[in-house]
Amino acid sequence: MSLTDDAQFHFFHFFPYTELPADEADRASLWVDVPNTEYDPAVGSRLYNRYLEEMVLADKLGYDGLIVNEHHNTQYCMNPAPNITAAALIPQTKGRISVFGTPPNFGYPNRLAEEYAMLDVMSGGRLDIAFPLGTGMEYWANAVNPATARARFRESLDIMIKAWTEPGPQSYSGEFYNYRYLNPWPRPIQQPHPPAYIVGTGSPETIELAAELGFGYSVVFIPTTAQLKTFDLYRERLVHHGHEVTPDKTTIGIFAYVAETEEQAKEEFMPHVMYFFEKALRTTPRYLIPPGYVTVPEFRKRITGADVHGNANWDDLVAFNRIVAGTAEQVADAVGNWIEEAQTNRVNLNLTIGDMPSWKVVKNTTLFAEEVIPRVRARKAVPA
Amino acid sequence: MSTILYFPGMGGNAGVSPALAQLDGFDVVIPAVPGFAGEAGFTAPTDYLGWLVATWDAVDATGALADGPVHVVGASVGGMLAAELAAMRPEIVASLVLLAPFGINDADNPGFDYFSLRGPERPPHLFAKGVPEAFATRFDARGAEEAPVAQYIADIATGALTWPIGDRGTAKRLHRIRCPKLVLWGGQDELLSPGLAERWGGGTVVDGAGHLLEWDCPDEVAAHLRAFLAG
Repeated sequence: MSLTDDAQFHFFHFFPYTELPADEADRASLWVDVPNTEYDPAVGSRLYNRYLEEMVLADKLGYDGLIVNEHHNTQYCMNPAPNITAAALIPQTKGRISVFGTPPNFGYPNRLAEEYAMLDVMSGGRLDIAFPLGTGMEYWANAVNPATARARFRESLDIMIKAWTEPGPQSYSGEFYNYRYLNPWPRPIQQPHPPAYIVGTGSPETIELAAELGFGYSVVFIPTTAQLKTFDLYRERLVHHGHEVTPDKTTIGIFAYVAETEEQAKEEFMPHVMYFFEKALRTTPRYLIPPGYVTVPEFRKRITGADVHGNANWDDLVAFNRIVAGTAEQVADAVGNWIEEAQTNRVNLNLTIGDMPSWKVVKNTTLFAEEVIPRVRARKAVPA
Repeated sequence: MSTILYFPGMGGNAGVSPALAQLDGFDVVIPAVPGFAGEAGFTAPTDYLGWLVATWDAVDATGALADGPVHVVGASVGGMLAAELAAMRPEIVASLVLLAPFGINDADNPGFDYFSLRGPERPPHLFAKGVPEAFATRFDARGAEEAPVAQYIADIATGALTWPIGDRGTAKRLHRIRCPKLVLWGGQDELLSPGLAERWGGGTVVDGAGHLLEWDCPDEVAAHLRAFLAG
């Protein structure tokens, strides 16, 4: 079986709040400190219901899974508590549900272990999870010191793994948390725990952590060529730590839009991609790297690296990201190539992005399911 | 010669400030509080007690306590550490000078969010009269590539103590300070309101000085220090 035969397509929804402040063009950042008086709960209510309907549609169209994520103090994502969204989706869907994911640093690890176990049990074992450190912006919104973020993150993971893999009650004594009775109820239905990923931006420390734990690795917001290098390193370290390399251990993110012609696809897609990179992601470098958020080696890289948050032009975006707009044949060809290039079979799809209206989401999601996925799966593997 | 233990503040350890450098008859010693010198290999203590123990270890390592209690001068975030030292180890502190110390927050006037700026943009907000050359070049000896890294490490250390607000409950321990105390504050401090001096038991405002007043107005600060230490 080739990678494309077995490709798994997961429908990602950011749940954006798209009615931006009137002065948004004057704001250096649309994260962290935009007054929440700009958030209209009535608009939010309408959007939540619309987005949930779009996700349920994707499930009915046969996508392998749905993905929600978490962010704070921002229009970028209205899911500060994505487990609630996942719980709303479970009774309406049949496919897998990915929470990609709650940063463990922003709560108590036993509670996150409990919540994920709840979702796994409620869904009958359909949960996938990812553990992000959280963007630098999240540390301005939460009462957690970024100087200890990585140590706290590692300890939280250890606690959750211990809670899921060893019988309770047990005790735990650490730098940040002490438990006399670590004994979370319920336990996950998938044993020892739901398939888990670490989310990163390519730092060697994060790759090493994912490989050591045998977790999958999901990389975001770095150019495609750099992603491929991180996958090579991750697989090498996975073997080093005695874990099996399987194609679902890595994920690729694809922005795709399907229409009757390439020109129409670009015309319909481009404004929303630009909105996403120019507005939704717009923040300032000052919020990206609070003191201690990145390791010193990562800091060395970033002071000379490109800023992907809020600076965008179409050519660069297409060059650095997996973005395709075209006919079903064109999109299937690009998706198949990316799958083979990355040696993965798990695709996280951004078929709805930015301020895309619902009619486009429905059209794109339907065409991709009915015209693209069958073509990708029927594709003959291209010899290396 | 008497010893002054000097705890530098935001920006990290830039050496003995010009105000302290002009004090005759005092040996100024800077305890090596972790990270403040931008040293490689720094790992932030995971909690405040860890920071205080690391500070006490740094004080002990100076050897300055061999001859008895010492004078302590703390600026900015270093002022918070100095106040804690005086509160929790009062037997080793002969007198305490606090220069615009962190440690007590004014929720109604939290001051300028220093760490919301990028590293190179931060230092100008510490001074009312421009960044002094000696401060601006404090890590230059590390080389062009390593100087920003050293600054980042120093910012991690000072940020770890003041993120997101520089208040770790010091006010609850002020009653334990029993040595003579002088509080000075820059009148143009962007980070901490001069009005906070009242919360420390009252202080003197040095007009024309920013947050790091011992760099901004060294002559005035030195005059206050001389008078206090002579008393």
